Amino acid sequence: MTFDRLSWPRRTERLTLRPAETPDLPAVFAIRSRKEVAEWMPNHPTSYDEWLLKLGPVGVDRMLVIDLYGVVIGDLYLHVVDGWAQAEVKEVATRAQAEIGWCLSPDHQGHGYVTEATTELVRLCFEDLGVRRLVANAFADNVPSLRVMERLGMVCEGRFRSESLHRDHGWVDGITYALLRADWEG
Amino acid sequence: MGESSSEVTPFQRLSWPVRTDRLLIRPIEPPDLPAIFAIRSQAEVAMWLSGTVTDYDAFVEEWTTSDRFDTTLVVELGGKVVGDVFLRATDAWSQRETRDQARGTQGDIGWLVDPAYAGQGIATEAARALLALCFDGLGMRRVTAAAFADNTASLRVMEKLGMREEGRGVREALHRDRGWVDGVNAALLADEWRSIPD
Repeated sequence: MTFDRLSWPRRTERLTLRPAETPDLPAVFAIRSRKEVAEWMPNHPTSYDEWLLKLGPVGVDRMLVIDLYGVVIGDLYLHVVDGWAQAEVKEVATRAQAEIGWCLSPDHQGHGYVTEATTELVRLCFEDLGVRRLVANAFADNVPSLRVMERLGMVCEGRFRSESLHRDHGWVDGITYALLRADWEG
Repeated sequence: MGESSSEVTPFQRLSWPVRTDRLLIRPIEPPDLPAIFAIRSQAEVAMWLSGTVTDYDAFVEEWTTSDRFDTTLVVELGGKVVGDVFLRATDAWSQRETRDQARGTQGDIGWLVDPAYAGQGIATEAARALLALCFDGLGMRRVTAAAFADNTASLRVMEKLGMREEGRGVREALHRDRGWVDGVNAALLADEWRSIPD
């Protein structure tokens, strides 16, 4: 497991980050089932049991919760993957890349919590997990998320026209941002 | 060949062979393997491929136990195999609620021509036929292609096809000789393709 190798919790100025555990999940669901949150998320869960079933152990393993003085106000996504490599050098690329994502309760927006949490997430990826490249994807119209990526120092690498199907907006553009450890350190 | 599935593969939904001005394009068959190996085992070809092939038996093993036979077409010029191209149906990304509508709506294509036949526009002619197969034959709405950024010949083909360079992954791909290098993603939508003048 990605998270087992690290020491927890991680503390920032105002927040505590830690791997999601079963007792956290109702609070995460309460946030993700809100319509305004689900707009840009991969799914809009309406039933807790169904959400939990589809999330599964794999989903929980990729989830950190953002804790503000004992209250779960959002979650972070972290998925470490192998970098793309030609066959002869595949081993070198093992677990070289990670995809990150985030979700914050609308009740707590506007205070910089996402930036604070994801700044720590980026540090954790580069310093503790030895990842060399971070990627984040978003719908092109999800402007707040793009702003977060920019604040993290991530660079826009592509805009993919009409590549993603949105349940309400139809086929829309997707955007990918990335950050190399070498650039982050520099 | 490869993983058998009860589902109809994209190739089974198309009629073969496909003829262009100079080329004949058809699904690969086992007797094509020596010719494909002869092309792919050349160092200048392998430079941009996902793996080097040096041993014929290992090559045959890999090709007959993967989905290669469901995704590879051979390109013939005057009865001789001068390259291979691939066409893979993929699922576009979708939110969960609409995922069924996104299934198989996207195509991923690639091409490779024997260096002995380079410089004659064969890759472009074959790839143009792939676009027609994707958009007209299979009703796809979007076609993508990817290449190492330094593979200028391949990038030129994308450009000639009218594919748009949409993304450049900075040092995202590990090359056996060159280290971490940039990758390029290009795409074309069905509407855009239909508006390209003949």
